[in-house]
Amino acid sequence: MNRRFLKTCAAVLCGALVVAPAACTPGSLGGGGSDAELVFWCNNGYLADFEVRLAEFTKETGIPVRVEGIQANSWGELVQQLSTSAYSGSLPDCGDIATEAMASLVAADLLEPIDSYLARDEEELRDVIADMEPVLYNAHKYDGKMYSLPTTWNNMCLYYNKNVLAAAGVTPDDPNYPHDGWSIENFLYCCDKITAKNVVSGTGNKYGYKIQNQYFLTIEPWLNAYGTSVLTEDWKDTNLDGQAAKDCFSMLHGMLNNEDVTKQYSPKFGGTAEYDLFYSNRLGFMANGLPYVYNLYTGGFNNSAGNVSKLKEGYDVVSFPSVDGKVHTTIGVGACPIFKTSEHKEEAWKLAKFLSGKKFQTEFMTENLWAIPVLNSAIDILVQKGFFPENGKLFAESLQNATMVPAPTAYSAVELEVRRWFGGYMANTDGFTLTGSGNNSLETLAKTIRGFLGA
Amino acid sequence: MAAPKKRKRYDNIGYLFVLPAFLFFAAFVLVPAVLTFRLAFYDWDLLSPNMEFVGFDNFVKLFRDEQFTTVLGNTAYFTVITVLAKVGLGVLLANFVATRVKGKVGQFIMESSLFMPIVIPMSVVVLVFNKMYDTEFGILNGILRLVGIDPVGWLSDPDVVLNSIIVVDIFKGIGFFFLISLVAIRNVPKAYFEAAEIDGASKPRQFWSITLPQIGGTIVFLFITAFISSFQIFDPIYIMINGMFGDTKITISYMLWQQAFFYRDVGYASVVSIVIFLIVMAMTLLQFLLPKVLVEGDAYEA
Amino acid sequence: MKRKVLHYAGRTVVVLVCIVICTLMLFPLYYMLMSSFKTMEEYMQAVPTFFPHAFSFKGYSAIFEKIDVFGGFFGNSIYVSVLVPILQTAVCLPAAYALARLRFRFRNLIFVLFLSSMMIPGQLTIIQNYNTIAKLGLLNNVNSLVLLGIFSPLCLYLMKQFFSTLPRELEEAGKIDGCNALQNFLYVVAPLSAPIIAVNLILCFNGVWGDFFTPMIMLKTQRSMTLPVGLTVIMGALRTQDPTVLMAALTMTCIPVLIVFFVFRNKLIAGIAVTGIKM
Repeated sequence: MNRRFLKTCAAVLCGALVVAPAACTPGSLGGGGSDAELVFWCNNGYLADFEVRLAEFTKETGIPVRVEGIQANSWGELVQQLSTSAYSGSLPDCGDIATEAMASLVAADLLEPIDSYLARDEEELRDVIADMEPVLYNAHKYDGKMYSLPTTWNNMCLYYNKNVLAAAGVTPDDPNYPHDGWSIENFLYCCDKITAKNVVSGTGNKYGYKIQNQYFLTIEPWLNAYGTSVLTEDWKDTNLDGQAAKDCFSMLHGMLNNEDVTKQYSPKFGGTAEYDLFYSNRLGFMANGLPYVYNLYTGGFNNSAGNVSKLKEGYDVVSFPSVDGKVHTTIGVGACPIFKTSEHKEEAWKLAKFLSGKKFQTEFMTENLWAIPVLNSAIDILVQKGFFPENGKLFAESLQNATMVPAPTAYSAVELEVRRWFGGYMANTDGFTLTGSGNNSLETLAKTIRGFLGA
Repeated sequence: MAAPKKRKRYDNIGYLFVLPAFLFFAAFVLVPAVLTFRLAFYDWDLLSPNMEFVGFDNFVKLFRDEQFTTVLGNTAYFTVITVLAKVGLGVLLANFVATRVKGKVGQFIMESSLFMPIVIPMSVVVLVFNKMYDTEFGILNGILRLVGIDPVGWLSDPDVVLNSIIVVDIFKGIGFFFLISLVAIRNVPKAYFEAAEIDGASKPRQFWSITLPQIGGTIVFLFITAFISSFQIFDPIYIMINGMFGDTKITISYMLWQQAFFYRDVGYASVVSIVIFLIVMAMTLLQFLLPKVLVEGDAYEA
Repeated sequence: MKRKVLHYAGRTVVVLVCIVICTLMLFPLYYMLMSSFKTMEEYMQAVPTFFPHAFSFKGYSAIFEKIDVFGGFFGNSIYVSVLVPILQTAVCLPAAYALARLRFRFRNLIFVLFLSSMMIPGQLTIIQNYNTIAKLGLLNNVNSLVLLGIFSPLCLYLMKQFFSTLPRELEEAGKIDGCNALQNFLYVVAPLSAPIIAVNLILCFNGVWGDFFTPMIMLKTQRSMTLPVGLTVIMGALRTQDPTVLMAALTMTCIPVLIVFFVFRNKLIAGIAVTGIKM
């Protein structure tokens, strides 16, 4: 018994001691593992997709890529993760980064400008660049230097549930029915008709719209609807204490508190995911960009599994209502910047070109629906797809009058502060006011933001 | 007569035995703890190479922080209720199972069902309850709707949310307290109970006068263990609340995480962690010292 | 006659109470299991059903289609939950023996130090440990959890108590046979400590499997996450909005621990009891 037990222990111990150091090689997140292996960061949700697509890249160019999915609930958190990686010396070579994070990264001097690469490969890239809208192409220009070609972009619009509107008695010939360029009054009318409590005993409530406390999803688009924005166009000052912003906020506040249109902050209700409500035909409008098209399609919304026309019968997209009758939207643009610390910049540049290139955009992006492709030819393909909503052309056309999401260097701080005030104001927390100059008033918020911007 | 070999005074090989453990202890417990005390006097964001010495600024900030008062209040409320509930219910249930439930099968079923939530990871329990508490699609509100009562905002109503989390914690933790009490009660000599039966004492009386005093030491241990774990509650707060209610409903562990890893104000976070340490240390010391004080109790007056 | 009625009434009450308690304790798990087999439509009703009307495996198929997501979490959890108990035993067993039986200067000081670390909550050391792990380049690497989990004051305390209660005759016999301390330990004492090792392995497995706080801080990439953290992000990682997928993942997470629970039930309960009583 002794010997056998001892032998077992020894065996187990040896096994463990062999496994542990072998696996203990520092940094599964090192910048560039083996020869010319690229490390590419992306969001958790797209890890699987990127792995598949970038395998194609490896097949074409022979450059291996290791994709790491990062868990970050906001772009501010992603910047934090990157800073920590910079600290521990394990930055990626490149990654899928959006507008919101770019300014901070540029300011932290982590990114490599690509002007020289662009000039050198001008011939090769001519067609691709010609296939993009200029506003997208110039999205990642900071202080006159280009830091990345655009790879994807996203906008904000409203998804509306046709079943819910029909059940509320709002028919398509009603002037208040959702249509591009519709007014705030139209929108409130629809919401009013939809919201009803306990329609039939045992069933749940129906809501018009659900207000969230999100920067890109809620606050900025609604400010755009009122013709304003969190920051001025040059991102050096804020508009939050302007009259338009005040009108916008008080409208949202009224929607929540007076008209029972949405239950996000009402103490008794709220907290349910808006997608779930929309899916079960209990929410009239939900705000998002392209990604929900994917979810509604793969989730078989409106019993449309195997029959995509039922999808179109169930929902469509419309622009945010606006004060001036025009289509307004907020946009963010994706990038694939190269990090200064990368030891494989040439290879990383090849990867960046691949992501903005015709093959990736027209073949892959039109299937994965992470975001809107930047190449017009790809967008044309996308709009033709069977599962695409009828008014899907909105996704591309809204670019005309779009506002880039304000993302200054101090993006994290600004976003946090704005959301903090918005949350307190909407929940009627003491001290959070629209007027006056108390600690948590709109005026103080504007002052704080000016402080962050160095204005 | 055995040849008197001079015994070595010390088995110095003991150092070798202890070395690996001590290395890990030093590297991941001792040194970090000491460094944290030092860090409380600096201003650092975990990343820049420079730490700025600020003396007692962080401590002063803590005393002046209104949010800290709220946090302490929430933590105190949560701790008191869960401790009383877990220990109280644990002991009562243990007594119930030990005295009223006859037969191996019955005891097996009760033990297993009360103990099962312990082995399930906390985050699984929290995620399931998250869905059960959902205002529109959760089963709890579903049952309420079925009987015609208005649904409750379990996780969205600021007055209710801490209580919802208390329920989750009790659900997860009760098995441990139940089990320890059960073992302790089973260890009480049957002779006492038989004597009491003969004297005509009722079951509740037996519980009060025999069981409780006999397991007094265990109960003290349970109270203190419950306190230490409840005080440091983090997982449900992070998963279920996570930033709603503008930080008015968070507890002290969450505040630590928030200051250290979200706002990156590491010096300030270190002060918070020192506060946590002091309170936990006080409680642990109490646990070691109290038995010596309480060990002579009524139990020994037959 | 009255006694009999009262007696049966009493028994009924007891049984009823037992049923209530069992229902309350098992209901969430039951609900989780049932929900994993529902369709999304059925799940999203205002009055949910207690048993699926139409069995659907969509929750599970969504996970198995992209199995490397859940599989990754699961694998990482298994890796840590198996490695840590083994290494912990390897490190703490000799230390506990030395503290219990061997005499050397500073023995008591070291023991007091080790014991006092029971008073040190994870919150006090996590910041500096994060810094250390970052400098070692082990962030987003499961091995960071392994390093942090090896030293356990509770394990040391339990083992030391165990060794203290071992009869000394065996070691005396060993000494007479010419063993030095090391041989004594390896050949005489260690085999006898099988019970306490087993208890420690099981307790440690459970503890590491369910740990949320430390993995949440150290692991931020999808491939390195363990199950508790991974479950909070799995819906996003699978790009789905279907709650039944989450329920399926949760159900699958419970299976290993429930197996361990039922197979090692006695040892597990004994272990927890020992933890409580010996303190």
